[in-house]
Amino acid sequence: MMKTTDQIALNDWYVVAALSNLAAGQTHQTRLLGQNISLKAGADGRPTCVEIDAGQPARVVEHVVVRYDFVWVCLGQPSRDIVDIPEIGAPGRRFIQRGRIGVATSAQRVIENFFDLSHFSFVHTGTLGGMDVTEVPPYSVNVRENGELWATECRFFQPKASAAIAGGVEIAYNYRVPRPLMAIIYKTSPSHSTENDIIGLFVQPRDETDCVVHSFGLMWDAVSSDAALLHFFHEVFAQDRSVLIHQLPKKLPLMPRREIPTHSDALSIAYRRWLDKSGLQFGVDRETAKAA
Amino acid sequence: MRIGAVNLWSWYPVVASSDLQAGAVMPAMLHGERLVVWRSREGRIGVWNDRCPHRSMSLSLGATTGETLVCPYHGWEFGSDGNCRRIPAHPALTPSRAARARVYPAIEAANYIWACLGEPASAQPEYGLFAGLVPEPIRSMHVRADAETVALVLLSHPLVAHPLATKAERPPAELADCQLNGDILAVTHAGERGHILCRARLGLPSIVVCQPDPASGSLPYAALVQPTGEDTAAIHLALLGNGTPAARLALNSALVRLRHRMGDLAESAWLLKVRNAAAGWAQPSPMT
Repeated sequence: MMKTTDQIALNDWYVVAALSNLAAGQTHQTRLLGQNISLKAGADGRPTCVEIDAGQPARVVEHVVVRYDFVWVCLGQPSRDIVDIPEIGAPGRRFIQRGRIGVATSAQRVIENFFDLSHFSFVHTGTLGGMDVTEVPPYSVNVRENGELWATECRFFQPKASAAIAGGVEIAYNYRVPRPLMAIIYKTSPSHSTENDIIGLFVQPRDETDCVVHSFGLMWDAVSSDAALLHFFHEVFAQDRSVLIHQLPKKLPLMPRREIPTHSDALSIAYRRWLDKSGLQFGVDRETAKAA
Repeated sequence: MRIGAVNLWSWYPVVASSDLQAGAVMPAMLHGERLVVWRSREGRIGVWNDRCPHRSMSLSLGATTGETLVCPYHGWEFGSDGNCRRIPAHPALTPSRAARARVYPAIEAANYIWACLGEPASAQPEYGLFAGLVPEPIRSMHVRADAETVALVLLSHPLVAHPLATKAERPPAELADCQLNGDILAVTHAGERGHILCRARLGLPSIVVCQPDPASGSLPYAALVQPTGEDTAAIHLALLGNGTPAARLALNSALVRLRHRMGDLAESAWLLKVRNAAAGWAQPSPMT
């Protein structure tokens, strides 16, 4: 696939690497929106990026920024600043980058799965959900004045909500979807019940149906080792991945009746409408339902 | 006429009955359509489009619970009519009628499960060629060739399997005769130990039956061809009537040898001869 011509997609920012994974002087080859790119960390630690065509450097990418210890790239003209995440850098929580994981589907399918409550019992049985409590209570969905999509007052009973806790507990969730391929969870911290743990997903769309998931955690957890936190996350994500690679079509269908939702899909329904209004083409499927 | 041609009113085999135990769920392909084939605890079979109507997950990765098929993603439960019976996220909710899987006509007969992607022209597959014998499934094998080529190869190059032979049987020396009688194409081969008759009903191109002269000691069998995709097929091989384990093994070995030679056989003069004989037949429209 060639670099997309979708201006809405091109003019947004995407994480393409964790800064700590770019060794000084080494190059890192990857792909964004159908375009091969090469990243390089200079001696001063500042990364640079070039587009690669037919194996040769073709264009220097103008918009390369480090923020939150991630490398962000915009292949077009940025239509806005990188999303503000004020909790990163605020005292208290522990910040952990959780690596990159490739998934052979659209970034939109990954985002939708990330904020889906009703799969916990079946895909994450024994950790984020249990077979005995499958019900998803009603929650609120709204698009805020700044254009961000939010779901609030979400609740779900979880047998093991994080690496830091052993027993089951009802967890409160808020979901923030500030950009189409970015989502942030705020969930009750099992060890600090008045505070939130935060998990963020930055999905790098390699192609329309192939992506790399970068993510971070901001946890109230002084006990678990980094390895324990990563192990918990990787177990959960491997379960998600095993579902995601078997969903067809891989591009997210936006038109109603292509896929039949229920009440617990209120955020998914809103996400698809919100994507539709955004004009984004990359990774979405706008075909209407076939006549039955 | 293309023998082995795809049509929407024919039954095609998708799996041997013995390969689908009660409570089992498996994927299958028919004409490029992804299917889920499953059997409830009580034994009811279902052949559906392999897609959950909710979020397009493969139902063939799901499981059965009693009489329902459960999607692995959100646990939606579907009854044998394809309608969603239960959404675990909302246990008290009666699911919308739109929440239903696409169900295809399916039937279990002659030790196989058969499916039809359109409206079946008959209540069950026409397997009169079995001549009252019951096919005993040996194995199913996927091949990289279209169903038409596979059916022509099977007609023009019978599996010669003699369970007591001490050395590999030689293939027939001659394709002696090739005749179209009504819609039945009959190909007679002169084998080492006697004649071998291969027949297929062109109206139901998925069944090739092979009956060697009893004096030859070779084995009668049926080969059922499932068009999985445009360029792929599965062959379901069955003994006609009872046979010893040695007989089953001999036929299996013959099929494996056939698969290795599929490319060459598809170009052979015998195959061309059978193809030309089949060309004289015109498929009637199911409307008449």
